[in-house]
Amino acid sequence: MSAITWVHRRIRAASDRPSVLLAALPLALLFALACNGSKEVAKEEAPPTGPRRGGTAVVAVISGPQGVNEYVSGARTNTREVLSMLFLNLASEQPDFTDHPPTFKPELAERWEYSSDKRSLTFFLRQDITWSDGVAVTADDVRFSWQAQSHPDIGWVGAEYKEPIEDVEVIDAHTVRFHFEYPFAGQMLYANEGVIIPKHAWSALPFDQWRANADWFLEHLVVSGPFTIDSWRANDEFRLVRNERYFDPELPYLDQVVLRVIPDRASQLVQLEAGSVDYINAISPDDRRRIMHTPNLVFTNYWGRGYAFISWNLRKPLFDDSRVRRALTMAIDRQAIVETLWGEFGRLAITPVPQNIWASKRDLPPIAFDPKEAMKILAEQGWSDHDGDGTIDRDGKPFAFELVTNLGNQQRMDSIVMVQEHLARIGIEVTTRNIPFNSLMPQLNTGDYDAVLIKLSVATDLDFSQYHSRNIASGRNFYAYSDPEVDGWLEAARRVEKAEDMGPYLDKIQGRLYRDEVHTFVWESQIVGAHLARLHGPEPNGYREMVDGAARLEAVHFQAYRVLIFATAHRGLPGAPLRPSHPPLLPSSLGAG
Amino acid sequence: MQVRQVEARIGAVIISVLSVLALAAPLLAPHPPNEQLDPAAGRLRPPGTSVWAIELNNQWRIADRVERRADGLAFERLGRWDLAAFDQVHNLTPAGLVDRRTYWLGTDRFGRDLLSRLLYGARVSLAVAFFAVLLSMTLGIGIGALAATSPRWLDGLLMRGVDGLMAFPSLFLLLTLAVLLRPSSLVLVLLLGFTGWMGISRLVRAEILSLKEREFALAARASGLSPLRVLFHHLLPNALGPALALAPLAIGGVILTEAALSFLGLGIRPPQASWGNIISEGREFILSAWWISTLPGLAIALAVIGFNLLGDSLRDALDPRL
Repeated sequence: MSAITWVHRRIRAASDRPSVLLAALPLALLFALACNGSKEVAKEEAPPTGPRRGGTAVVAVISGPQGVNEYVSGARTNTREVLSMLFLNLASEQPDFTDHPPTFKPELAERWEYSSDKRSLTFFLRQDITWSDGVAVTADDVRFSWQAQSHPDIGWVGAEYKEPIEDVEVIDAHTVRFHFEYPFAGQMLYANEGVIIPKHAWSALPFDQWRANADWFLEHLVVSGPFTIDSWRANDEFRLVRNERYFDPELPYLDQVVLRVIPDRASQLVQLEAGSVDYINAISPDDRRRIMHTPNLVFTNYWGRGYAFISWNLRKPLFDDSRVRRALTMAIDRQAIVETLWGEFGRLAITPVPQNIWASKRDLPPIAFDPKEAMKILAEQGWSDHDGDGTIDRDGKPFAFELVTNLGNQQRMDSIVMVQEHLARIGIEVTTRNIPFNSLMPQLNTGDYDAVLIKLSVATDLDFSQYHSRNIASGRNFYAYSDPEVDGWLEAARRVEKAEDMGPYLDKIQGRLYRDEVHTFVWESQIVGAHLARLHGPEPNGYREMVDGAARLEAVHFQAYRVLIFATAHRGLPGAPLRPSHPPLLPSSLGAG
Repeated sequence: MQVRQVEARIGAVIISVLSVLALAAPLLAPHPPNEQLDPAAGRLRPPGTSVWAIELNNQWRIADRVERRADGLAFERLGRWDLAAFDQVHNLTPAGLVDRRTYWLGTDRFGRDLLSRLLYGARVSLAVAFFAVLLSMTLGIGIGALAATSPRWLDGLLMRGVDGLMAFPSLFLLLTLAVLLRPSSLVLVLLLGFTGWMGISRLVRAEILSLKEREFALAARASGLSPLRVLFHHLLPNALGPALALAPLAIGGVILTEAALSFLGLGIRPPQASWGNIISEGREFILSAWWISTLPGLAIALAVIGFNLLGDSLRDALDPRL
């Protein structure tokens, strides 16, 4: 008996009983109404006709922003993401650093020019931009921002970008001039770093009280960006609404952006699949594979500007010989690590300049996985299993060390387990430990570690002063690498006037680090995000701009007809092509995430 | 046969089987527990998967299918066909590849055989629980007996100390200590042992205080035996029954605590397997690879049920008041 026949018979049998029919009547009515509703909705499924405004996008975030003042609220990615929606920079750095140094597009400043000696850079501000309270954005705001950025009582994390700037001079209300100690390639980057904040609203609080009163700025918030804050519920939800005085009358398309704090990635994913969240900005490759065929989801992926590496502590006698370090690299099957943990979303890292940055020395071949050769090299250095206990030793001391990484990052925690197994095959005993990021950093800075697997994000100014020997004491050069020639190249690269001229120095630095095997470079990876198909705009190069961290969402929009079907809460409308956003740039930094 | 006897037998059988499996792990485990042959291709394989393991020059490859061709061995890995020359394949014989692997309970995130890890994990989890309870029993019995036979001031001091320790949340204490000390099997035994004796000491003290007033104890004292002799020959043997009956129950509890600590990353450190850290390693894949967390979870449940059944029955048998 077929299923259809069986259903038919059951219906006929039921129809013989009036009580069943009575019970079925309301259900039938509901069904008919539902069918009728579907037809109406189907009428709405017309193709989008053009950009329109409206809707609320819900974005899942791991944790909420720390405050609205970038200069006292730290450099956490989620804070920067929110701030990039509230405040503007002088110019917008473009994501075109793959082939050449990044270029800039006007934002607060409509144009800029260098003096003939290149020691000063003048910005001409747009005259039609106002703060959300109607006060014009002026050169005084730019000078005030610089004063805050460089003030020692504030201690902004990006203050080093302002060190070469001697003064910021207000020429007139809409003209401001940056005076530099010396001309160098990164002047525009350095001047542009950090958002412009409102002097008229925030100068009432002296700089020396800023750190202690981070909440004060929320109470006195005026913005210049596409959104302003409507409600602020720490560790729960942050609601941003359109800034009606935003200089571009077309943007943003969305009425509101809700940042919902969902600390657990798995829960974020569940909510995305359920349609209660529109966008999550980072999912793991495993999750990506699992949900790749889920209907109504769109994935975005692009290469980040970071690289994961094992840093050998060169202070330790175990790692003070580059031949031993090379043998360690040869014994680790890095391709297997990349393939296992990242699949198509990762690739081998070779130098500290990721391959999607113009200055990457792409002609260096990856060091091949060759455990036999590694054992041979180690044997030449006296490392063999003399006592037959399975661990190689020299002068009675076993080759044993601890490899640490930060707790909470699954890829890194997995990779040290894999490294442990690879090195065990050649008789090296590795113990592994996952340490909370906040505890790990002091250990690294004081040199209290053997080896660490960590990730570093590279800023587009390509400042690699972490390899300078003068930074060993401060802990920035926590690997304790010292090479006078590299020091010289770093200083020379810092002084060139055109960014392109940094190339030869960066080539030499990369070549020397490769030769000296200061690190074992492991992977570069893509950042994978996912959003509901009804949301348009969070695209690679647009949403986070290939710069880890920032999102302005000003050109993100919904497609109207789908929204009507699936979510009454999201009344979005079709929009125009995406405008690039311009996230803040921060120094090359170690990341927990 | 009484219900309690049936329960005792079931508990004893479960514990015996688990203990035998744990002890015989090196013989029973099909593969080394930490072996990662080809994690990219071997990971997250469901229970019952059979694959080919191909030993190439420097590495192994896990393949779903292999074909002997004129120009070499073709193998399908990660949905793609590759070709290896015959002289590159080290485990190829005229009869074919010698390494056909079946993962009876599937593989974990690194392509490690879950059955092997569960067997070796049983050794760690059961051994840690056994020795931790042994330590806490020793401490508990010793301190309880000392308190019961000491002058009142020392008894009061010891019992207030016990009260203080019992009032302190033990999981918080364990977590703090586990963060401060670098966990290993030995450290875990010490941690769990030193934080688990207080209840036993109270029980033993109460038992001895009660026994001290019984006729046989009074008679022993009246016949001129030293207090130590009375304690070791007359009081302790009678007080041990209820305490020993607690041991299996305590083992069940310690297994759960060890699993919780390992789950939180504060217990047994990788790559060494314990049931707790296997669960932890699989939690990310609970939807896509259920077997990684579920099977050690079942093993823990089984062990705890076994010890509890045995403990309940022992208590009934040894505690004259029940």
